[in-house]
Amino acid sequence: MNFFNFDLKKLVMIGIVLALPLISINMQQRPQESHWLTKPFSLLASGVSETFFGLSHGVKETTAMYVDLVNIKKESDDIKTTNNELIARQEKMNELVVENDRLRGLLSFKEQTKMNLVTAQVIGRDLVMDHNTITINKGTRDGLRSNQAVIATGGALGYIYKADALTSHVMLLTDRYSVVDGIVQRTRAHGIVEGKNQSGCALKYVEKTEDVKEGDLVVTGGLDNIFPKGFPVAIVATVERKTFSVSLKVDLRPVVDPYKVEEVFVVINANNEDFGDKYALPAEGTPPQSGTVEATAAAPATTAMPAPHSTPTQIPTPKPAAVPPREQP
Amino acid sequence: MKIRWHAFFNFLALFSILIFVAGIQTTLWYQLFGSVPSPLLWLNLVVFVTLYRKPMPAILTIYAMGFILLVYTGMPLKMMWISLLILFTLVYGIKTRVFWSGPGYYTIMCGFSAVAYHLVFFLISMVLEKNPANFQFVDRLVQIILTPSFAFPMYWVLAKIDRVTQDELVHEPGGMYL
Repeated sequence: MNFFNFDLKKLVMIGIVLALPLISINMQQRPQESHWLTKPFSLLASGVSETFFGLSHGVKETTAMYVDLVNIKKESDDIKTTNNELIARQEKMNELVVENDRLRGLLSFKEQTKMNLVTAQVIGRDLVMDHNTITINKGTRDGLRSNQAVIATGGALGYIYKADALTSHVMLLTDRYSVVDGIVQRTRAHGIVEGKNQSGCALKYVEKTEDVKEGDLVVTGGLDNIFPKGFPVAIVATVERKTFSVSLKVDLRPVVDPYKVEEVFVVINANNEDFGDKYALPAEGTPPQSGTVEATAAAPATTAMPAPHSTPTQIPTPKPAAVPPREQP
Repeated sequence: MKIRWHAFFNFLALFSILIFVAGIQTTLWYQLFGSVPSPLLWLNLVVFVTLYRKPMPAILTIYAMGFILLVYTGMPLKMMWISLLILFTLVYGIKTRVFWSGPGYYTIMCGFSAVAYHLVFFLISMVLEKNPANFQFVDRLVQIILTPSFAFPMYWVLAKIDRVTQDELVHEPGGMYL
């Protein structure tokens, strides 16, 4: 019997096989610490896990994003629609605010004057560009007739030259056939305001000796029996003294741009209204008050448009202090 | 006396269209486009009458049209009639030498008339008016471009009306025979 004759290799292998569980028992005693042996495997495993997680997360996110995109597109469409509605409403509101201001100005002017006025809207222009006339939506049925003054809150516009039953045609001060009596307010120099082109007119027959300067205000003279006296007409743009001429060559810019006016007043009865110094320019050296013709004319283009392009809301309004009391009926 | 009803209705339709296009030009165009110069739609109508009517009825019709157009403008009658007479003479003079049917010819003549009208009016104004018209080049140019642009649709409508009212028309080649 070869009891002691055993294979050492086998014995060692058996020993290892039995020892490994024992060693593992020892390793389990400190589970919180990862063993150096397991570190590479755990690193590899976590890497694989991370990769799969990242992949699944990416797929999930992409899917979610697609689903979200569908929702976002719908929401975006809704928001766009709402935004467009709001913009439209805001524009409408802005237009209403502007219209409100304009109408307030008209109402205020109507309340402050003793003239009998009829409000009308501008509905059309002349058939040909060589004549500057406008059509308003009031006619003889509303008491309008030829040679009645048509004004805006800040200045004269023209006069009715043809009145029909429902509409009237207004010859603007800028029309070549228009002639109105005018006075340079500062020096009381008399002249005739004659239309010239779409954007200007001229003061004619002013004596050469008269003192007329650029920026002077020309008001209605009242001799034409159309306009009340003292109402602003235009501002002197240029003055030319020709050697061989008895009169000055004075170019004017109307205080109201006739093509930007939407509502006008027709003077049914001036009731002897004399605006006198209501639109007087401030004395030299004093800053122009806001709301006066001077202020409007002197203001830079960014704050207020120059007089010839001013709209009824931008053009001067009468000074409340100088307003005569209304006549009691 | 035999009343030519077709001719009567044709005149009636023509004047209705004149009032209609003048209304468009003075009111609708102004409301839509503000201070942009409007096309001379009435001039297209005048050109149509000059081209497709016999000379005597044509000039009488044009005078009547000019008279009606005064409702829409501050232009005096003398300026209107003289400018229309000269314009008629120019257009008729071309027509007797060169004429072919269709809207193409009509459009060309409308373009020519737009240019001629502005020149004629400017010159007459310098001669007859104390305070002559200004040469507002850009505005006139816009009108000259816009006017023939509306000639095609206007021709279509006017030719249709002529066909319905069966007036004696010159819509075919051989327009020199008047």
